[in-house]
Formats: sequence, C-alpha cells, structure tokens
Amino acid sequence: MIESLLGGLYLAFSPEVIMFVAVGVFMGVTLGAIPGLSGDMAIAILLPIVFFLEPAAALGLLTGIYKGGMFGGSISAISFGVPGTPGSAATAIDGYQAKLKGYPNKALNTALYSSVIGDTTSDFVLIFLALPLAIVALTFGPVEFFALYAFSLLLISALTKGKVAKGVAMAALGILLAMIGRDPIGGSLRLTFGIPALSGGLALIPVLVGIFAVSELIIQLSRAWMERARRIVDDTKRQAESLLGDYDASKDKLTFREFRANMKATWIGTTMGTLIGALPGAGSSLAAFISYGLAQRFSRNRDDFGKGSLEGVAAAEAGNSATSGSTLIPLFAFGIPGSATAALFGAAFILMGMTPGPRLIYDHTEVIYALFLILIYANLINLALSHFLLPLYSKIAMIQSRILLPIVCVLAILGTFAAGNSVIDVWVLLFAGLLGVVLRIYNFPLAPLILGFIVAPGAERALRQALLIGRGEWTHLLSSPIAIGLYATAAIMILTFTVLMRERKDPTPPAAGKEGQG
Amino acid sequence: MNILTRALTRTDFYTGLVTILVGVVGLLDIAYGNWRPGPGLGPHAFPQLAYIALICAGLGIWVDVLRGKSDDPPSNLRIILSTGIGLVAVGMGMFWLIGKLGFVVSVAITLIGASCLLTREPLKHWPSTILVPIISTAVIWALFVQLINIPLPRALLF
Repeated sequence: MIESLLGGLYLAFSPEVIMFVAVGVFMGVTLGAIPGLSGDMAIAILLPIVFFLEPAAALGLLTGIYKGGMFGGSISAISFGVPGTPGSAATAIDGYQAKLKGYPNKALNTALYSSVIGDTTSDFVLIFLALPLAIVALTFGPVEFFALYAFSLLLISALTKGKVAKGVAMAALGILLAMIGRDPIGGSLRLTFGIPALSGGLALIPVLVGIFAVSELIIQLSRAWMERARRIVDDTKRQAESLLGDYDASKDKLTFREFRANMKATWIGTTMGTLIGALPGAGSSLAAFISYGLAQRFSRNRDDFGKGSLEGVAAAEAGNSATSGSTLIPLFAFGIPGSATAALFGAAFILMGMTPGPRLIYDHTEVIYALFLILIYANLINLALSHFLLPLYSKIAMIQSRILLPIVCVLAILGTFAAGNSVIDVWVLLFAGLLGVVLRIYNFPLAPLILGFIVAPGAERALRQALLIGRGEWTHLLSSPIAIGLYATAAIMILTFTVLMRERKDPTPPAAGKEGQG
Repeated sequence: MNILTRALTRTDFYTGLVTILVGVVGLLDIAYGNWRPGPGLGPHAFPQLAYIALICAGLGIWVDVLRGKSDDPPSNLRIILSTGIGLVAVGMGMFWLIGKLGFVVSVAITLIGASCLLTREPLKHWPSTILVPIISTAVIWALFVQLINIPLPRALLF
C-alpha cells in the first residue's frame, strides 16, 4: 500500500507528467474557450497519441485537457455570451450580464474559483468512493453485471438531452456497431456484410473520434463555410470591443468579501454537481442549471439572478465543474462510463492495456494513485495558469474557427492512422464522422451510442454467461436481489428526472450566440 | 385522422420509421439469415435484444410525434452533408497524395487548400491561410514523423 502510494507519487510528480498536465490544461482552456470546440473533442483527437506516451503522462495530458476544458467554456460564456461548451450555458446567464455591467473580471474570477472548488471536491469524492464501490463490484456475478450495464444504458439513454426514445435507439445502434466482427464466445462472424476487412470488428479509436469529433468538425466546417460570406465573427468581435469602451479595470477586482459571499452558492453547485455527475447520462449541463436554480431559491439576493449576479455565476460554474470527478466513479468502480468524457477516459485506459472496472485499481495501483494525485494538482495548475492568463484566454476565445478546423481535421485523420497503422481505420473514421453528422442533425444524442459501443462486449459476455448459468431462461436475469434493485432504481430515477425536467423551464443565454455543440 | 396526417409532415415520423425498419430487417436477418448456433443462446442473442430495442425506440419516437413532440427539420442539411462528403474526399485524397508527394507537401497542400476555401479573400489574409498552415505542417511533421515515427511512404519529396 505504502509502496504503491510512493510509486504513485513518483509517477505523478515527475517533471514530464507535470509538463503534460500543464500543456493539457492550457490546451483544454484554449479549446474550451472557442465556441464549437471543446476539451472533449481535444481528448478524442489526442486519444491515438496515448499509444505513444507513458500511462501517467498520457493520463496527465487528458486530465489537464478535461479540467481546462471545463473552465474554458465559461470564458466565452462570460466574455461574449456564447457558451464554449454546453455545460457553461448556465454560466452565460449571469456571466454575460456581469460583463455588460462592467465587471467581466469579477465574473471570470468567480467562475474560476468556484470551478476549482467544485472540481477539487468532486475529485476527493471520486477518490474516497471509487475503492469501496470497486470492492462491492468484485462480489458481482454475470446477472448483477448485466443488470448494471442495463442500468447505465437505460439511464444514459433516458437522461441525455431528455429524449428517451432517441437515446434508446442510439444505445442499441452503439451495441450493434460493437457486434460487427467475430463473436467473442463462439468465434463466428456477425454483421460483416461479407467485407473481410470488418471481420476484426470496428476499432475503438476511429469510431469514437469519428462519431464524437469528426462529426462536430464537419458541422463546424460547414458553419465556417457559411460564415465566410456573413462575417459573423468579425461582428461579434466589434460588438465585444465596443462594450469595453468605458471599462474601468481598477474597479473590476474580486474582493475577498465578494468571494466569501458566493461561497453558499458555490457549495450548492458543488454538492449538486457531484451528485448529478455520478449518475450516468445526467451531464454537466443539467447539473449547472439545477445548481443555478437551487442557488437562486436559497439566495438572499434572488432578484439579482439573471442580472449579473456573481452568486449565479458561482453556482452554475461549480455545478458544471463538480461533475468532472464524480462522472468517473462508475468507470472506476464498475467499468461503465457515465458520460461521453468518461467514455473517452475508458477508451484511453483500454488503449493503454488497462481494463476499466473494479480490478483497475488493484491491477494498476500505482498508475491509478498517480491519476488521483494528478486530478487534484491539475486543479491547482488550472487555478494558477488561468489566474495569470485570463486576459490572454479572453483573446484566444476570439480565434476564428476557420483557422483551427482544418488543422484539427488533419490531426484526427493522421492520429487515427498512427494508432492502428491502417487505412481501413481512416475509412471507418470518416464514415463514422458522416454517421455522426446525420445523427446530430436529426437530434439523436451521441453519448448513449458511445456508451453502447464501449460496454457492449462486457454486457454481451455477462448476458450470455448468465443465460448459460440459467440454462437459457431469461427469468434468470431477475434471480438476484441486487439486479432487481438496479432495474427498479433505474425505473424510479428515469421517472423522477423526467418529471423534474418537465418542470424545469430552460433559461436561455441572453446573447444572440448559439450554444456550442461540444 | 387529422393527427395521423399531421404526423406524416413531422421529421421525427421518418426518423422513427427508419429506426423501426432497421430493427425489423435485423430481426428478419436473425430469423432467416446464416447465423450459427452457439453457447448462451448463440451469437444472435445480444444483437436480437438490440434490434428489439430499436423497434421499441422507433415506436417511442412515433408516440412522441403523435403527442405533438417532434424535432425541427434540420437546417442547412445540404451544405452540412456536402461538407461531410467533401471531408471524406479530402481525407482520402490526402492519403493518396502522401503516397505520391510525401507527407510534408501533402499535409501543407491540404491545410492551405482548406484554409483558402474557408476564408474570404484568402490572399489578403495570407498569415492565416498560408503562414499558419505551413507552421502547423512543421509541427505535425515533428509530432508524427519525428516523435511518434508513424510509417508513412516518403515518396517524391519529404
């Protein structure tokens, strides 16, 4: 135990890993700040590079991007009223109003501090909960594991974007894509349509990067093509500059009293974000809006909400960022990614030869301890870097996407080729990108598809083992009280969230901009 | 009758229809296709569940349509799909070019071409349409060829 901890410390604090974390944070904030791009997209595109790095360095890079991206989205939300990521849409409500009233720096610093507090707390919850839950998971048999997979797929299908039917369709499609190739138990070919190249199945990287990143890139490229004629970005820039005409920077510094006054809202956001983040599919956007609503309800200055309230910024940003640690809990404890980001981390583990799940902590103790430490100190690096670079970041948010998009596309294509050294993977990447585009424009949520693709092999193994034990009787799947409990909990949670989401009125960001799709 | 007629005009009626059709075709394939038997109800057990889930989801989408809930038809569909097909062509074209002209030249040509396409008056904005792609090519070359050392054909130039 002590040896593993020391090993983890050595790995986490090696100069190489610290450098990768810092580079990751910078990349994450930069990409998160640019509307349309996101930290998740950067993680997806850099997945192939994971192959060529040491596990601690690779996880440091991805963690840095993730943490930076969470905060980065709030920069454009506050500076221009255009959320850089969906999770920062709630931040835009008060953040942009604060900017219009002449205190953008206070709003940005409030967002930064509450983001770091929420994120760090959530990381500690992950660290202290993952191990006990993993111990519980080690006692599970195939019936319980299949119930757990079904629980996650049902929740993520029902809660992502609140579109149950489309979510279920996507989870099923993800499962079917994962079924292409050889049956892992009997070895017979399935769904290959006579194409020999498909007999090995679809590789994880091209499907993930294609569905998740390339599809978004295609949509952003088409927007850039349309904006070529309209010059929307130039107009936004002029508008942003004109708003700063009579700006007095000396009056725009967050005082300790203001920081303390926001603490209640920050803790409300932190608590809600941590709880909601641990649920598969609920997501940072929902956590941010619920935190915002609750903070308003319990605030003494509730009338200020929507008019540039720093409490509103703090609650939304803490709620958004507090999902970051807890969303990894199901991945560490059960091997089930609860969100698209967790799925990307799960894919990174698989690429490094580490199987996500209850044995992950036991089989790779040093690396996981190192990751826990990285999760914590990446927040401090984020705090330090963002504190000093906030003025630069606000300018970065104005970089026109037309400059970056072609570079990101080439990186995605070459990275996918590099990971598998196969042109077939590039074909799969591009066609997965096209499929992702079609699904996005018809408003199908992609997170259930990714989760379905990743968990399908495990879920199939659990199902068929359970059916073998139960001599082919489907009722055997209901033979365990834990399994019944999981199915019942899924049903109750779906019902509860459906009712909650119907009651919640979606506050829309005040600016003319549109929400990032990342 | 009025509800049904209105449903036919909704985009999600057709997305639901496609979802159901995929599920039905899949189940027919399992019933009459060349699936081998195997342990644990065979290799078709899990895909069968997925196809049934697809049909249920499609019916769910139809129920939503009948209740008046349907997503708006996609805007700019043609331009988005054209961009997608264009990216597929550019991606494969870049790989073909790498075999002919080499890594550096092909990536630079692809980046400069794409930047010029996306920029109004590309020559006026030469720093972002020519300089940035050339610098990016150098960084990508250093990353993929020098650092990661991916095996690419060297071809005519670099």
